Amino acid sequence: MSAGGLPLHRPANWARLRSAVRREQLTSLAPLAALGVLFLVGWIVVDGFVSRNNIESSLVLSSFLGISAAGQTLVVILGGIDLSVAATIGFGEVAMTVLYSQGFEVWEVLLLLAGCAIVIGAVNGGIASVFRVPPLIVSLGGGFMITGGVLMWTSGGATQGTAPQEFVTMTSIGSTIGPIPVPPIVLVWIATAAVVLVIQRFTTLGRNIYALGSNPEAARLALVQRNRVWIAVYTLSAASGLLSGVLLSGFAGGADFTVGQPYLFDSIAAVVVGGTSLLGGSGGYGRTIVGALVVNEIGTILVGVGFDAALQEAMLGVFIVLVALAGREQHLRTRV
Amino acid sequence: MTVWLPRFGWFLFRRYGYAAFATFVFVGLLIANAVLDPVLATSTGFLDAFSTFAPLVLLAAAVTPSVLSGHGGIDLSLGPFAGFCTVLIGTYLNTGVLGQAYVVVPVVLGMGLVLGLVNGVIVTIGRLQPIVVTLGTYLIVTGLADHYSPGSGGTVPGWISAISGSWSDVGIAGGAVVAWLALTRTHYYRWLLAVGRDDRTAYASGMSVAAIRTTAYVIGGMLAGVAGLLLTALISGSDSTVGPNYTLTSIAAVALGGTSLAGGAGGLLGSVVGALDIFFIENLLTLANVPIFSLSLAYGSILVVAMVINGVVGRQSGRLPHGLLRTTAQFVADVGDAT
Repeated sequence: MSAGGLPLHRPANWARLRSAVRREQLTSLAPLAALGVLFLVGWIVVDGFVSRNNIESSLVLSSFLGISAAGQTLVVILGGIDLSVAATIGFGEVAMTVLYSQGFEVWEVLLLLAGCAIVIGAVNGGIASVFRVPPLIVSLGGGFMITGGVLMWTSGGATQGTAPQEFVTMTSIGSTIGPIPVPPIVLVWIATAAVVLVIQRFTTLGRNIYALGSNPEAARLALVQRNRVWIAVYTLSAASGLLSGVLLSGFAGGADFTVGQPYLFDSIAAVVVGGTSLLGGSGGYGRTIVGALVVNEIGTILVGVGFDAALQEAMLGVFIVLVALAGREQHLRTRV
Repeated sequence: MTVWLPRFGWFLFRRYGYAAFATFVFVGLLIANAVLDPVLATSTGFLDAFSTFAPLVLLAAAVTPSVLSGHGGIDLSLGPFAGFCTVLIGTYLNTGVLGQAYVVVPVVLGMGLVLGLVNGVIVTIGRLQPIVVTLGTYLIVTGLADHYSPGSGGTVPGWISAISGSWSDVGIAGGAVVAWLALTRTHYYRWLLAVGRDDRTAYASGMSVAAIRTTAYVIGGMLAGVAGLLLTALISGSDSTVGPNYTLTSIAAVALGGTSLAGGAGGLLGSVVGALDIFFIENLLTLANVPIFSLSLAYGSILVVAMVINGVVGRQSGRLPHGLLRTTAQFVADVGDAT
């Protein structure tokens, strides 16, 4: 592009730009292709991969990951990152189990947690936005604060308690939605996805998220209320973490704060594998849904092949890099 | 009054001003710790404390070059790599010829170099975001360490466990920092900051952005190797679970030390001071008998508050375009010139 004024001719690298756009359209399909290929690999390599039992358990596990990664996706589009998600999941799990055992109704706990989501979102998003502190550090500190708060409340985190029966049924493999043989948690995931997709696509908030993520300065000149958007998005992220934690309470069986730990990096992996750029401004939750399924599929195959937990972790690392390679960035020379 | 003093202050500010807040905090914490914990001021107390915080300090230093290299640069894999080193030494490099310093040190530094090279090449040639690449290698290194770990225990050669709590600990850590300081006198350091500040401008100016970035990851990997040696000395055995805990803390130390996570501004000395801040805050919380369950609450709040003050005082924020400190330092220098 010429330095002063608009280019009058097509830029010299027009052909390259065209092919870059075409490649961009292709790479958005890459995670879907990976999903299909991994499914075939699993079918061939792992015994019982295409059994009803395995597919149902995959759906349940992907639902937890997909719901946890819903807020993370919006945060990443905004140009931030949320490292407090492990703590919010643990908080949701412990709060639901402990408070329900103490005689609270489920809806009361949910209402309370909705309030907590706003507080967590205001602290994480507000501080990151108003004081321009890197969101990585703010959410890291926020995660420590939530962890400390929960440990103080439960005097150590290991508390007795039983989760509401609704959540146990919802997340157990083999339960059905009426006549449909799918665990009901999948419905919750679909509902969450619908909400997030509508926010991202059809609301002012959604447009503001993309605007701030792709160019904060331009968004400011377009009178986007930066602080409000950041607080709203981090609130949504806290809410999706808490929701995932609440659902996990039925799966885990008792109060366990550490239940959120794996989701810290897995939620980021699901976002990235799906093809949302960590630089912000592009991607979306539709991609993360595919990403969550892929990350889960990789895990299932690695378990099925018979790797021990340590090697599973190592191979997951290899796969994340390989899958992410599909969505590699443009060369620097195209951005000069 | 001599005229050079305000000028020198301005020079110091321009070179190390990014770490000013971390340094103020450090001085305050040092006084508080020395008063509350007189053992620290003794030779053995100091050396014990030093061997405890040396791995964190070096890991914070190790993350810094990748952060400086910009474009979301960050290296998450270095904490697990230090843990991997303890497994490597505690399980394999501990007997006979393999346990000798002239084998262990090159092997550990070489592994760090290879890890940095892998990270750097995938980031630059593979054109992936650093956080994804190093998350991948984080999982790989953690998994390998777990897989080859003998559970717990392991034995380390005598010369390594002798490092902990002795002056050679200080010597090794100091040597690593001095090596970096020597590097900052070279062209490479300017290139690194230029690439970190704006890679497009650097590319258009003819710099080899890929090579400069990759080198930053390699330097980080080798510094993490030194951290791994000191961590092995500290725990005197092999433990695959200890490494990953360092990852997020070392990044917090980098940010606290005033290095911009956006790249191109800051430096390694700031990260060292930031890591010392974190160590002394934790030490102070322990000394003050803060209940163990509220430790992370206090730690998280302090981290966030410190970062807020750091942003307002030291770096650009929306309302203070040059930061309070910069304006003051420049004013003092100008007054000094005028008199």
